[in-house]
Amino acid sequence: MESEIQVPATTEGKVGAVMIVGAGVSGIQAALDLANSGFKVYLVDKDPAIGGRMAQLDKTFPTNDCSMCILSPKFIECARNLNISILAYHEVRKVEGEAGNFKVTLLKKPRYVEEDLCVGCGTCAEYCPEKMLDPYNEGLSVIKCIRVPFPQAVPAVSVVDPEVCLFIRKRECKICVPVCPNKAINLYQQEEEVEVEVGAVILALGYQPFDPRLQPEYGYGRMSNVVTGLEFERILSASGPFRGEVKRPSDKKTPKRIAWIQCVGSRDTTVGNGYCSAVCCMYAMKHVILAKEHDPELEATIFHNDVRAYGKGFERYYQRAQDLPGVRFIWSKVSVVREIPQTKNVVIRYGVNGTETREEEFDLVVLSVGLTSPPSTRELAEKLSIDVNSYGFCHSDDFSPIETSRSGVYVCGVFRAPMDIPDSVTMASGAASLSAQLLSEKRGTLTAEKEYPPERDVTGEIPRIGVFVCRCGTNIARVIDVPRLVTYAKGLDGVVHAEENIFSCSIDSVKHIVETIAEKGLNRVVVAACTPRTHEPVFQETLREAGLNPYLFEMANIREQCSWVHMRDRIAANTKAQDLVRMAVTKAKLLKPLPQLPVRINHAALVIGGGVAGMESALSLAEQGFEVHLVEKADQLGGIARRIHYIMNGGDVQGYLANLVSRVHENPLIHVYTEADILDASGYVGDFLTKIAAGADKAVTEIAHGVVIIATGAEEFKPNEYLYGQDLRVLTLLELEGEIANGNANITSAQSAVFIHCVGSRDEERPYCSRVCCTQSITNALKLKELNPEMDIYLLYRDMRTYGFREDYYREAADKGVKFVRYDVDDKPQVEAVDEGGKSILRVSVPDPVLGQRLLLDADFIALAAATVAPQGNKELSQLYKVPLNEDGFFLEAHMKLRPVDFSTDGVFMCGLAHNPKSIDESIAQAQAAASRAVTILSKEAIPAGGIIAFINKDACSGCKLCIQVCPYNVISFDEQEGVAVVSELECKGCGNCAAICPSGACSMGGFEDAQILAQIEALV
Amino acid sequence: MRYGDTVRKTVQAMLEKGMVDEVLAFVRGVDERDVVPAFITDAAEAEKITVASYQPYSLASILADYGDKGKKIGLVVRSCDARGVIELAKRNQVNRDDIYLIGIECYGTVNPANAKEGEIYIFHDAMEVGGKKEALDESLLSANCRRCEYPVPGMADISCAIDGDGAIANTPKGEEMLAAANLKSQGSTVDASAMKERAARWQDKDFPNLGTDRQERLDYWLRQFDKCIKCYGCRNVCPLCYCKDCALDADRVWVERGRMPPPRLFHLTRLMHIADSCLNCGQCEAVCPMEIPLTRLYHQLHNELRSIFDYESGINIDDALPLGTFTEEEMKAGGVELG
Amino acid sequence: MTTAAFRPKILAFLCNWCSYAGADLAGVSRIQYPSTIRVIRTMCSCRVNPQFVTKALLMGVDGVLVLGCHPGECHYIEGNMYTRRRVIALKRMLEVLGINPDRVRLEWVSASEGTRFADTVESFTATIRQLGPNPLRGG
Repeated sequence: MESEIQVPATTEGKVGAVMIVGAGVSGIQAALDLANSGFKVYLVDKDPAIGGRMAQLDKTFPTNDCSMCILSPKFIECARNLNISILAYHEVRKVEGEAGNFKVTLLKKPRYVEEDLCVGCGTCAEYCPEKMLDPYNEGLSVIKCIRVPFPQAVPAVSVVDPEVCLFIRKRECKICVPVCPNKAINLYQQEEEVEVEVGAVILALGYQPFDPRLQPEYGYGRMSNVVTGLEFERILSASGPFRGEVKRPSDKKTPKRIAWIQCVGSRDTTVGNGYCSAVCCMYAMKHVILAKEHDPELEATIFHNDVRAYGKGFERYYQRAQDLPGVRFIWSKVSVVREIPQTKNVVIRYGVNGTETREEEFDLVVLSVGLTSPPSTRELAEKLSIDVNSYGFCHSDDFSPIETSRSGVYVCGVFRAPMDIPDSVTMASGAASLSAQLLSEKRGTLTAEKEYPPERDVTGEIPRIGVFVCRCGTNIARVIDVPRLVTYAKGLDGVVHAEENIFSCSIDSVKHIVETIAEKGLNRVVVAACTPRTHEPVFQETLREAGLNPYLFEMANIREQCSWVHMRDRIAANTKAQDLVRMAVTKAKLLKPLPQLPVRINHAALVIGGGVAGMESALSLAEQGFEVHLVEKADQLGGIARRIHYIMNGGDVQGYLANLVSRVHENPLIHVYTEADILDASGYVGDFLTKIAAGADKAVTEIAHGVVIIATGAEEFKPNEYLYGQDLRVLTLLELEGEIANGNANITSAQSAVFIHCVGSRDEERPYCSRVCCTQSITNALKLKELNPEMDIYLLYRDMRTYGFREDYYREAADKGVKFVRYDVDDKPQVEAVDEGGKSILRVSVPDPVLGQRLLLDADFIALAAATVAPQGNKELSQLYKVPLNEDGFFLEAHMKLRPVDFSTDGVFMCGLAHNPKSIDESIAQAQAAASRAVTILSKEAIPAGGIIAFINKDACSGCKLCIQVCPYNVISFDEQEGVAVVSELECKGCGNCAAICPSGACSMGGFEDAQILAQIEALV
Repeated sequence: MRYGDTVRKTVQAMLEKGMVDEVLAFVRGVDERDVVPAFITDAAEAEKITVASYQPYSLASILADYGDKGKKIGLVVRSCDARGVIELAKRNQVNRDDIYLIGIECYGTVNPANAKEGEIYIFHDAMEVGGKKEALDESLLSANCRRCEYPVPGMADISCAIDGDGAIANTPKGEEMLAAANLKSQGSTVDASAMKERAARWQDKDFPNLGTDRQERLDYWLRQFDKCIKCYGCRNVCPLCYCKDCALDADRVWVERGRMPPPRLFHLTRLMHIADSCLNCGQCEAVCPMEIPLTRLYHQLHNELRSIFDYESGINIDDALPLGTFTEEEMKAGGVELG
Repeated sequence: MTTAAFRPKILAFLCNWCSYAGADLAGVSRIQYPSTIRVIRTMCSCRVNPQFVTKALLMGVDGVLVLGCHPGECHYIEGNMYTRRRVIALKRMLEVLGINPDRVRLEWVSASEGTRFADTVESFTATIRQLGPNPLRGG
């Protein structure tokens, strides 16, 4: 290990390395971005394995993707990246030095196992006599005191708990030492100090779930059937304590009635946590949906204080949960009354209609505990001289959301504020971008290129296929008889080896596959596991490591398209699994190696949209030394931010914006085009060509660029209700801000104002939440109160979605006398203009759920929190750059959780409101994230292409040109001399249209040849 | 005056004046019931050209296979061959610019196997056998010809009447050709509606009514396919089968080698490959030693596709193949059907 | 074979970017659907040579699904436009030949339409069940 941590010779100036503290999903993302753009990365975690909290989650909202399934490929990517040193089980002691040149002192905690010897085989754990509560399963199951932390752990190395180990405690037992086949166990290991020099530090410290023992009234710790959200997450998980069967702790029976109590340890000043934890509403909904999948008869009840489904796709997810039979969302505070001694059921008391109370019995109660910053994090922050806020989260400015109070130290993930996975991942990429900006002149100084063994030529060899069947924990094995499938595979023609793996993608399995390829002389590999869309690259890489062309690989998707969808018909599922494996093997026999060709990268970027997001990403790129073409359709930069005057922390938006615009104009690497229209776009990652008409004269320019960042922003919806457009006293929030900023006395001196929320959002036409409006209403209400403390202000809302620290402002507004009235979408407020005493008054009536009657409010003006809507022009861009939009017209990312700013089309990224409604700080973070992702391409000289592309057999080509006619990219040309068609290998995208229309079969598609597909068809019958 | 004088006169003039290097046409074969294709280079040889109502080969096919590239070639063609040339030109197999299509009106041809003694000429309402005019016996005609909707080769550069000196120039090139032969462009005497009626009548008769009796239809065609001895005759004569390396060959992946009858995919592949453009020339059916009524199948499917895709094969060289194109409107249509 | 005992065998061609992702989403969402289908993944639906479908039917497969991206959303811009015409032509061929064209179905399924994917398999399976075994089965 010592040798891996290379302390670079002191170079003058900065160090081209970055330390990331905290290896949860955000730390991992930052590490990958940096390592893939020319920086050495030290990925430090206090735990013995990387992965953080996300590794413990069962599924992720709102797509219900299996958390481990999407995360574990990232583990492997980290482990395989030559430029990432994983320093698990290390703690940061101190950080000396300054931005660009830090010396970090780490404490390497003793594992009592030598990392370079242990292969994670688990023999030690088999023999170890001491059991302990399994922290990975939140103590709901037991595990041996020496063990690999969890099946997919990286590093896949055992660790000993010194507080449990008999030898370390009492010098009694050493059974693990002799049984270890690799002599890896060293129970005398001591902690040691390690020093590392880096140029920047990223803090991705994560969070600690709130400990509900601090609020004894919930019964947690006293009542066995009261569990935390994270515990329930483990209960749901196939790799959890009950193997994915939903059981309750007291009697291991399936609960029929489950209650979720929201805001435990959040939005509660009595425990010092005044903020909203931002994720609990969503994870509770996820729990409900998943639990209902496990048991459709389940009765699920969620006690909440407003459902905060504010993110992309969340409102629809909320609808989905609400529409499930037997699911109740109840808006009420609750108290846990008692445990029934015989049944261990839990009785909850809650309010109904604001007046009466009711008691109800549940089999299981889940406390939706919040996210906290634990004392250890505050201590670390103090050691590093980083300011934290009153809640112990990192302090940062809204206009530089990723920067800490110490220069060269950046923050991402929940340590900055409670946030969900995509926001954490976004911020992580942003932090990578800022680090790279700081160290850009040192890019590539400390990194190494991955080298693969030379590719073995398999031409002429008889197929020797190895089949690896993944159990995926129990995800596959619960439905598919894996040993039988292995036996079946062994009997197939061409198969010389078949075996099963607990997780074929785990680091040890992958290593084992490499060894098996050599040992058995395999020249084709089939993995029967999950979807090739996520895992094919992992295994293709494995083949390369084994010296095989990556295209000698085929996957059988027996999870997403078999075990998960035919759970109730095992026999059929098993037959299908056999069919799928047979089809894959039959195709594999005919697979051919496909050559890969490098594509040269054009190092300029095109940024579309000159708002805050576009400008921030342009600056981030320019400051890393890349040329940027910034295209804006309006006649000046600024976007919608030009209409924003007030934000919650009191930041000066217009001042910031003016500064940003001048920085953009002054940067010599940024070319700004205003009044610009995009006329045409062509090309592909690394080599795009976009034609624009810009300026008053619409001069046409052709821009060559390697990447595109789409930051086209969004618009404020023009309401069509509440007298908007008919009565000038009815304004949207942005209009209101403008009036306040202009000092309009009719507004600032008004006696009464009514804000109405969700205008044009969360309805049938736009079933999404616009995320920013609740906070923006409160910000404006507070501004009005500041200017005119006597003003009566009412906020009529559906769910107050002041997530994160925004909650403080909600509380402040209430404290300052702003009145909040909750209304139901089925009984919306009514607005009319009435004449009273010769004066025209706006009268708002709204049902008051607490009093059960209609409340009449007279207002001098009404502010409508109008939806944020996607611009029409998105459609055209989506076609030009071949990237999708979602149902609401916003751009759709490659993956909702882990690729929040990427498109599935390589080289195209997005940020800001083009992605979804969001606040300025979120847009800035996302802009920097998009820059980071773009730089992973721009920083390279070339990226590999080829592989799945068309090929024309000259001898068989009759020169009919049909392929040329149907190629969507016009990348087939005609060789007049030879009379045959020729494919441009660098440009071909591999759709296969040419191969389908070629009558003679002279044109074929790599990896999808006629013979291969026909073989699959034949194998099916 | 012999039948086809206009044609011969034109060919002779074109060769004499060097408009073309050679002319591909049928000439009289071993007897009156025989015609053979020949490339004629000598103007004097034009005399040998016959327009007797036999069509034992596709001249379009012969042109693609044997025509000298780069040479100017004249072709004496019936509609089916003229259309074949246009379809081959779309597929870059022949260069339409180098080809001069001398069309002859055609009211049907007779399979030589069914021929009577003496030369036979078919007119739209009569026929002449061995020099004797009689009423037209439609049963004598090849089945595909009875269904033919293209008596006048309007897609050729000129269309000539069999009888008399009627000739029409359909293209600028055609005008040059007529001028060379000192012929005037004048209208046809053909009763197009009568021909359409005949085509419709026979199509109705030959084509099973779709939507009913599928099983019967399927059984019938499977029985037909299973007669196949895989002689490749149908493929070899088909003017639309231009591939120099055929996907149906035994060393390729589509059709398993050594099976007899061949896998049915053999026929269905051919069907799908040509149906969008089938010319109803009848060659496949005529050549089939097992008498599989292939043309009937291809023609019926072609008619179906013609109406779905609004595509008429062999008429306009600029009309893209229906399966190799789409319209802007289609891009906007959400469904899985057209329109 | 009685309808009750009839287990249709269905081949589905799924394009990598939309419909295959939709099928994956159905899996991730644990939407249960009939186990009748076997999937062949292609990069784009336009890779599907109609002869693949014909071949499958001749092999005795009871039905073939071809799924692609919605018009305008094709990862390859317009590949699905060709697919549409080809499937229409193919279905016409089947009709002329005497095979019920309902045995082949083209649908558009996006990456976010897990439910739509499952519903498509469900309803197509029902259609095939109603049509009964492919008359070419075993022939």
